[in-house]
Amino acid sequence: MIAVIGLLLGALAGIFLEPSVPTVLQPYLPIAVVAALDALFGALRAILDGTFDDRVFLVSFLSNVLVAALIVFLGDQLGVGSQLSTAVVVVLGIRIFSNAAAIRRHLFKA
Amino acid sequence: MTTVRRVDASMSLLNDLMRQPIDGDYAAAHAARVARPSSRPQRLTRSGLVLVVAVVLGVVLSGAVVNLRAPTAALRASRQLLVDQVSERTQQADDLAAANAAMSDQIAALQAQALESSDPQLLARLRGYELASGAIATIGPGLVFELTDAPGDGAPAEPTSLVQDVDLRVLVNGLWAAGAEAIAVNGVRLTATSPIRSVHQAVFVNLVPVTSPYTVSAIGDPQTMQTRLAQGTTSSYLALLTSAYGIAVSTKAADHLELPGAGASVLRYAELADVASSDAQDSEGVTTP
Repeated sequence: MIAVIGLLLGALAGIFLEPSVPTVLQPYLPIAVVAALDALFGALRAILDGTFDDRVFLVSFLSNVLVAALIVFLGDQLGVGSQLSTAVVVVLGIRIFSNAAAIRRHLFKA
Repeated sequence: MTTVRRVDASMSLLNDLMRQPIDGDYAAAHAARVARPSSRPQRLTRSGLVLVVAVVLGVVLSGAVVNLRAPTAALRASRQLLVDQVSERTQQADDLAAANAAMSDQIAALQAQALESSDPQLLARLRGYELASGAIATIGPGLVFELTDAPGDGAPAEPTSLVQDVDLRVLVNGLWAAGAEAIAVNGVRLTATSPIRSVHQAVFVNLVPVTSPYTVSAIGDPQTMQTRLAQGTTSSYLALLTSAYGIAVSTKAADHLELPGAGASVLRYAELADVASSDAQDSEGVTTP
């Protein structure tokens, strides 16, 4: 729970502080945000399952974002950046959808 | 007997994705915690660490989102620069137009002054020409037409429900034919060389953009003009605009109309005078822009 509260606090602070992102990192922001969304949905599902763990949440969040950005970076270097971005978005999208389905089953029993 | 291949073996990646979207770590960590609860000081340090990392991640995440949503500062700066340039140039153009008008007035006054003493007859003829060509302001009775775009309820209007350049042209030509002596559209005086045409959705009269409602003022005998308009095709054209496209058209007679002048006429063609006729034939005239 501490992790979730901390994340919310950080998010609020970020909205007010508006930290500037280096231009070099700009292309990886969209993918990183999608990866973060995936981690958040996974965490929500874990909370409902009763298996939530702060450490796992943070590690999965961080690794998701980093790995997604890294894949896109590699793709850019190899000249297949947009294709790899699409691949990452598809995989993360499927995960988000099925996590959302699990959350829905938990909440509405349907 | 060989091992039986699953029918959907080639789909294993998709199956994995669909069946186990959640990180297995959650379940594993949960099981480990249940099996071996950590001591209190351990938990406290870990909580602190978790909090710090979470706050940092939150800042980074929302920072990324804010950065993605807001237009970059560079974009805004360049936009502001363009806006400034546009308003500055518009101001310059307005100033120049005003200076031009003042100069024209001055020239006209000096011309009148010079001609008044030397050749009053020529001045009178010049006045007549200027009046007919629309160079100077004119006062008199006449008709006022108002054409208004059909109401579009805020939605992007159909081009047909807007007043088009051709509508204004038909009306203006009808008025000329009906005996109008001077015509202005939205305060822009028409001369023999004034175009009325559309650029995208805007109507330009004499290269000046005008917008709805379009007011067409014509100086002339109101009764004669009305009668001749009704006899011609113009009135039925206007009626069609109203009935088919919802463009509101109103007409009223005015006792006192004041139309602005179109400004001093520009010298476009000149011919050498007082030379041998053969020479005059050769030099086909000097044109100025």
